[in-house]
Amino acid sequence: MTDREIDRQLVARAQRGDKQAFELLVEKYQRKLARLLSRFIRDPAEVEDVTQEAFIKAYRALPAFRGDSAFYTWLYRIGINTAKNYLMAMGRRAPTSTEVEAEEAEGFEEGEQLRDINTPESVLLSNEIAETVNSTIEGLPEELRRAIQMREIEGMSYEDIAQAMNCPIGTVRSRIFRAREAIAEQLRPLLDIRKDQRW
Amino acid sequence: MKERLSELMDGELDDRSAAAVLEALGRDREARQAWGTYHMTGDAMRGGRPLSEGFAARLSARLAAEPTVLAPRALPAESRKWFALSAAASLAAVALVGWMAFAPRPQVAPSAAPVAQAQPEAKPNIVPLPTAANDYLLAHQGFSPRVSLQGMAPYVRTVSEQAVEPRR
Repeated sequence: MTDREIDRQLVARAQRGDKQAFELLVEKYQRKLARLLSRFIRDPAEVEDVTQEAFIKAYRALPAFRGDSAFYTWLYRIGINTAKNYLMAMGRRAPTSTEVEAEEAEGFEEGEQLRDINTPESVLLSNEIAETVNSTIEGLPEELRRAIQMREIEGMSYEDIAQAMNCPIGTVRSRIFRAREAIAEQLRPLLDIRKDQRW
Repeated sequence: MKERLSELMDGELDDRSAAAVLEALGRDREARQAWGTYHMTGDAMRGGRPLSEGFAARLSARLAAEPTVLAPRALPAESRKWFALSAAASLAAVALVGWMAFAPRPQVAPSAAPVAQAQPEAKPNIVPLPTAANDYLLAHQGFSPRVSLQGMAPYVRTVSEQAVEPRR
């Protein structure tokens, strides 16, 4: 099942009244949407507020979502409009140089750096997470590290990774999962501590 | 379960297995946490920065306060196709009937001196037709030029001709 189809299934569940399904979509896209909106809005607290508002608007508009476009493309447009409306209400204007056409939504580059808009403590906490992820990845056995990097950074399929690593697909599946679990194991204590702290 | 979830996120599960994992996500709290952590890991590896933990809690509270949305169930694709076809057929039928009813009738070419021409027609020169001609016209009336939807007009003319004949 493709990523788009997974989203479609979650949207269909949310449209039938399953709020938890919508929260899974929030978990998946919150950072991506916030990073997009940080192109328009400088203040980190405002970015989070507008991101929240965009998700709430998307939830209210769910009955109108027919799946003609990908969920993120639709969410992206809502996010952009919410940010523009917010800036207009605040008497500000979105700089045209940062405007991004909706067609770019699908190809929105994950690698683009979020503007460094965090407070000193949030930067520290952010760095802590980043360091944890990086150090855990560095400490992984070579085959696990290569597998997770090829999947998450290169976006390669299991089949392509299996060919590149000269191993069965089942082994690729296992390596990626073990790498994810190893990282998650290191992140969990941090995530527990971080409740109500801003990045 | 979490290994299946990892596969699902990578788009490597078939539809049936994926549907089962999505279904299980609704019941399995640990799996939902893993969903969040795995996505956060991927974002972090791609250079993204996570939002505050408070963000998720605040948004969750706002969503809980929202009325539950219930969208009308979409028609299956097959039903939509038949609905569209029948609607198109109905429109085509209405258009055809409308065209037949309101299409411009053949008009006589406008004359340069209509008044002058009207005078001779005041006394039409009726030439009696032989009985054989009536039979001929009746037999071939299907080929006579006429505008559609004229109803009984061609027959009426033929029958009246027949009615006159016996008196002669």
